[in-house]
Amino acid sequence: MGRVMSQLPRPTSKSRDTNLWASPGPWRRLEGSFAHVFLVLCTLTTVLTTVSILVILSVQTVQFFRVSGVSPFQFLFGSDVESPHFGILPLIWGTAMVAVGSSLIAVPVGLLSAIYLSEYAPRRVRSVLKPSLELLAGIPTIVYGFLALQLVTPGLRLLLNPIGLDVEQFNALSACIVVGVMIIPMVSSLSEDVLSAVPQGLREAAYGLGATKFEVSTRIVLPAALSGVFASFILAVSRAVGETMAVVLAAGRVPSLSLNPLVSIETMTAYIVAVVGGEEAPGSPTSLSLFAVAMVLFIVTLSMNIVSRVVLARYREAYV
Amino acid sequence: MLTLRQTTQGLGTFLKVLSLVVPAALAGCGGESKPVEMVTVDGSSTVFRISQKAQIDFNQVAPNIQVSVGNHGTGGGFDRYLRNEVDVIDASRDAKAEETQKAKESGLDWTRFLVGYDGITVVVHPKNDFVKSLSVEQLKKLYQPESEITTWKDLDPSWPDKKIIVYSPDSASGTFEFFMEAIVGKGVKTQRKGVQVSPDDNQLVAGVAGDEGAIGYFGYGYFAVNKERLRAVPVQNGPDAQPVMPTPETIMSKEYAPLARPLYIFVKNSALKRSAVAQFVKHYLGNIEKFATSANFDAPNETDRKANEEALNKALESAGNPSA
Amino acid sequence: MSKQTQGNYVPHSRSRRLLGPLFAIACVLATLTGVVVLAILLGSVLTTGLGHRPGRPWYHLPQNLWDLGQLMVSLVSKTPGESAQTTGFRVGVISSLWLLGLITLFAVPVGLGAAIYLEEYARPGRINTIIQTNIANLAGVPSIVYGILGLTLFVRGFGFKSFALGYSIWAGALTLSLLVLPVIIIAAQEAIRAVPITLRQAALALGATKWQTVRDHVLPAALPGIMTGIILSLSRAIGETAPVLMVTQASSLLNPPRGPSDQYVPLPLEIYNYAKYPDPADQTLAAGGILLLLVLLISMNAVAIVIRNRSGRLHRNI
Repeated sequence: MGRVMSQLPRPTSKSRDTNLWASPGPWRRLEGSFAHVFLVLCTLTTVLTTVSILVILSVQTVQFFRVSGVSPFQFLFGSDVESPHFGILPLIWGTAMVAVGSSLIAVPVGLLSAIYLSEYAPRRVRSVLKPSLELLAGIPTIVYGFLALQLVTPGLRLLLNPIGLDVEQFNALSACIVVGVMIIPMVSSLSEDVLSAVPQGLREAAYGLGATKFEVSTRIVLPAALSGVFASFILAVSRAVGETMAVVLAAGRVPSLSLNPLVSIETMTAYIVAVVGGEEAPGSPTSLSLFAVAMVLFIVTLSMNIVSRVVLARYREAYV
Repeated sequence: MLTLRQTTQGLGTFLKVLSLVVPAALAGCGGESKPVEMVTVDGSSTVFRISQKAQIDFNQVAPNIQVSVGNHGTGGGFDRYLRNEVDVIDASRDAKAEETQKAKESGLDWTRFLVGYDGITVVVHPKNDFVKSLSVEQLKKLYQPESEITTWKDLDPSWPDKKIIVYSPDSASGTFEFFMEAIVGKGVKTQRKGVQVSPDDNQLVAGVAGDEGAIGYFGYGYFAVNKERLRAVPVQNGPDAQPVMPTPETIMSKEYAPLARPLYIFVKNSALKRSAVAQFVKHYLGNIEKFATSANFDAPNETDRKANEEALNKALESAGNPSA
Repeated sequence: MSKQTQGNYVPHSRSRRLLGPLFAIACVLATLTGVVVLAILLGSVLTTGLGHRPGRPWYHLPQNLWDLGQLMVSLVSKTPGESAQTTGFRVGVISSLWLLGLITLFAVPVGLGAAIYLEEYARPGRINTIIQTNIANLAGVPSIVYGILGLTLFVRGFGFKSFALGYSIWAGALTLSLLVLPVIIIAAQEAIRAVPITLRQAALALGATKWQTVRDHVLPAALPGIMTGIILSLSRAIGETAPVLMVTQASSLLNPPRGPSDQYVPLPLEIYNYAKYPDPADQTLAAGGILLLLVLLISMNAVAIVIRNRSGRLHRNI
């Protein structure tokens, strides 16, 4: 505040009776304009990124359909992934499974952690726990893959084999668990920030009216922060959909359309990685198929985002 | 409390100092002379292991030549070579016709050298004592895409009626491609139903070592360091042949057939004009036994090495860089 | 004014009374899950990395820490050598540090800029919505697609040699910056949005220009949330393998990069290489590399967290 006050001109005897407002000088205005331009350019970067991605993907996708002779309908709904059929329905199913499964883990755990950190935890505890959870986000994804193989799958076998459920070496459930853990910090840390930013006055008012801590947390604070919390969900699910290495190592690469989470699946991203790192000759239908798959992924996440935006618009509340 | 300006100024100074101090401190300690010339190698992750040994050894001999070794797969290696980004391709298969064609057309023709043999080893769990050997016919029945085999008994009536758990490298792997071509037939790219796939050979090792009814295959190197956890199966190449166990000797003598695959490097002829490349390739091929065996592969035999030497001399002469 | 204010009011209905503590327990358990997983991860990496030491249990902390320290030092000072004992990750560490620095330089200003523009300057409307949706979508693009983008655009310059950056650190940093940009933007946006409008109104009423309000009042208030976004995204960037693989040439180099135009091999890539080797000694090496990466990560996070805490103190509980 002091900074702003000091920039006001001192009143002279001439201007004593006129208002003290002096409009910003030419340098200030120039600074403002420069800032404005810079900010617009920054925003445009995101647009440029998407345009570049779309250009690269579409050119190669068109080429793929031309070279392989497969129709878009066969491509999307066929179930034989290998060439020459290129039906990617199992891949779409695999991606959906991982996305849903990992969200089922990350969303509740992340949200509850966020509420704990922001509403219940003493400051000391919070200052240790929050960074620890953020550390989970930085662990390289290959480590998560190895974790799945060394700990999660054997653990699942220990738990489920006695009941008669057969757990394959590479299975979707391990992938869901591991990816779920990986995205917990996105939900918990970002949600916690938004929850903390809700004005204390709201809480106090609620307590004043006789609410318990639980009621305040879930019925006052959470709805106030809902847009931020949803944003963190979307970021987390997006990451889960785009995750590659951990899924490949945990779930293997056998495409399947079954509902059984204990078998191996292949996601769209795993397929892309395999083709990229593989022995394919450049220009062949298989090597071009990765662009088509990436394109599908792009469109799927886009639709998901548009839908969630519409839903969000209805529930958003702004607190002054 | 820090204002935004103070924070960004502080961060900026911090980063500037960091970017000056850290590289200087860390890099300056070594006291290496500035690397002048570069040799670029890229390709198969299998042959990578040999090339990396060569890279490290060569650095002792010529520390002013920087060799970079990449790992983008044989296909990726050829792709980058054809864009003129690479001098030497590591290849776990021979060049395809279209690739050779494209290379010639772009003036990027190459010389091929043999740098080792990789014996693809079929393994089962150590507790599996009934599989004495497997014929190529049986392997084909097991691994072909249309395979209906689910138990050991299906392969041989004298074997127990236990479920087979089949492991395989994924279809993007050169090992897979080679195995399929040798056992099932050319151009077969699909996996059979119900096979456990992994892009990482170490996971295949863990898989077979962990399942009593399992069977899998990978390069000999992966078996050699895991001998206590796995059992290699002798392969019978044809109904009249004897089953042969993969060992460094049988692989080198080509007795272990048809699963001994040759490993190559393809060197750009025009790159041999540069003394750095010429020196590196000479050193590589001159010490190839050491490099190949330390990477758990079989070295090229006497005939192969002679062939390499002749090809190298010819390439060097036509590049105008006489062999010293 | 602490957040711990509990009403002294005890509800009559039993369900209301019970629900509270139950919920609290659920929250604590959830938080602990994350921490426990972290502990397991670290434990398994540590045991693999330090190798097996028969007779020395894990709780002999001083000796184990000393071993860990020695391991770290040796890994940082060596470059790839003939055996696992003589190999280190020096090239990887220096490459990753360079990458980190450049990514911070690119992604943070651009991300902040976009977030500020979208929250403070842009008029709500169709274009704004499209851009927002676009950014959220970019967050979900698989990292390998960014790798392809980086390869085509930065390394090869879309075919135009003069724009091509080659397989240099510049290209890698730009690619990873694009990867983390959406996360920074969205986190920053939420943080800026959470700043009460009263703050802005007060500044404007005192005669500040819009830019002054943003720069001197809104941003400092939003800094903690922004830092969280930066922490999360930089942590991710440092651990990425797939996109980096596409925009680098080498997976094995013997000389660390001396400048941003040099070739490089980031740490996760080096680790990935050794993890694929059959020799168990190389697996141990890979685990050691992961530990090194974690050390790097923790120090980076620590710096960012200090900044976050110091800037956030005054602006809580307005």
